[in-house]
Amino acid sequence: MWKYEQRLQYPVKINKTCPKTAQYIMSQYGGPDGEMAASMRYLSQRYTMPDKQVGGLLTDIGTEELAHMEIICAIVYQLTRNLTPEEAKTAGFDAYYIDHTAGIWPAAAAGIPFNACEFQSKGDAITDLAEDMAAEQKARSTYDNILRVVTDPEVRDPIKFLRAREVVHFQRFGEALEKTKDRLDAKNYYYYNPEFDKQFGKQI
Amino acid sequence: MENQCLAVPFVPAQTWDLLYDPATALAEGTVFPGLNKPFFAAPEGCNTTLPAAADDPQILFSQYCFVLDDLLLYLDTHPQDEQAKACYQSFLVKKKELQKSASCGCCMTDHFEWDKKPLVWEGGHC
Repeated sequence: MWKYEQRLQYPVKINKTCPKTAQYIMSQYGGPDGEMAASMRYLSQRYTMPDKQVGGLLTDIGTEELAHMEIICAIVYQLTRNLTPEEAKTAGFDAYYIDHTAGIWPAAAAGIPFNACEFQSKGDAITDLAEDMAAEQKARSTYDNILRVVTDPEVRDPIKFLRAREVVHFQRFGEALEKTKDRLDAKNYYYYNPEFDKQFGKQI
Repeated sequence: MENQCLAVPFVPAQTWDLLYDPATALAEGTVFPGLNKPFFAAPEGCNTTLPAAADDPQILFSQYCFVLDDLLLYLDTHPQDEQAKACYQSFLVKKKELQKSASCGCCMTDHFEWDKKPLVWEGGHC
């Protein structure tokens, strides 16, 4: 089970309204490489992981991603909480405003709603961990792109923090993959699926 | 290194080394200097909005909690690392002492008293 802690992992205090920035940042809530996809990916994949430590790592990183989702939503909320009707017409945010006013709803920067097809749970440990490593890189690139276009330090600071977490998570998934490889035959890591063909698995 | 072979990804395992202090860790997004790889468009040392612990005792709680978050993931892939376990325990003690001290009411308010302080997404924290 999960319990709610009344704090953000990294504090968010934004004073300046900016619907355009909100539209960019929103992508890390409901976009293809966003925090919702990240948490759902890891918390879905963990059940069938053959290595208990790796299942535990997916639980802990998936939980941290939920906290990152909250940071992203807090940024979007604070960028739009004092939105004037005139500001609502900002190009890019105007279409979102018509459907959601200043409510928080998971969508990509280009307007595509969140969709479970943005992540995979393939039921194969090597495939899933390779996806997880790629997912951390895709999220890092998205944060790089945000840092290129956003100038407000009150927005940049939490974004830099979230970007740094992607690099750390990549390292952990790489280590999880090494641990998974230890259970397999180094002559051919693809000889069987360690999550499905249990009769071949090394007992560790 | 025996796992290095063709057609499968390989990332070397991290080894235990000196850590950042908790304030630097939260500002940089990791407690591990070796994993801090900033983007050139976000130069180091420009974290201007994070309050100092001297001005905001609650930020100290966030710093300890974050160090614990980062150490937890390290321990998930290094469960036998005794130094890391000892370090984790020491920060756990610091966090609990801070929670008990009068200077910080961090996370002490009961959940149902939502109207007693700013909500976290409004800019309030712990």
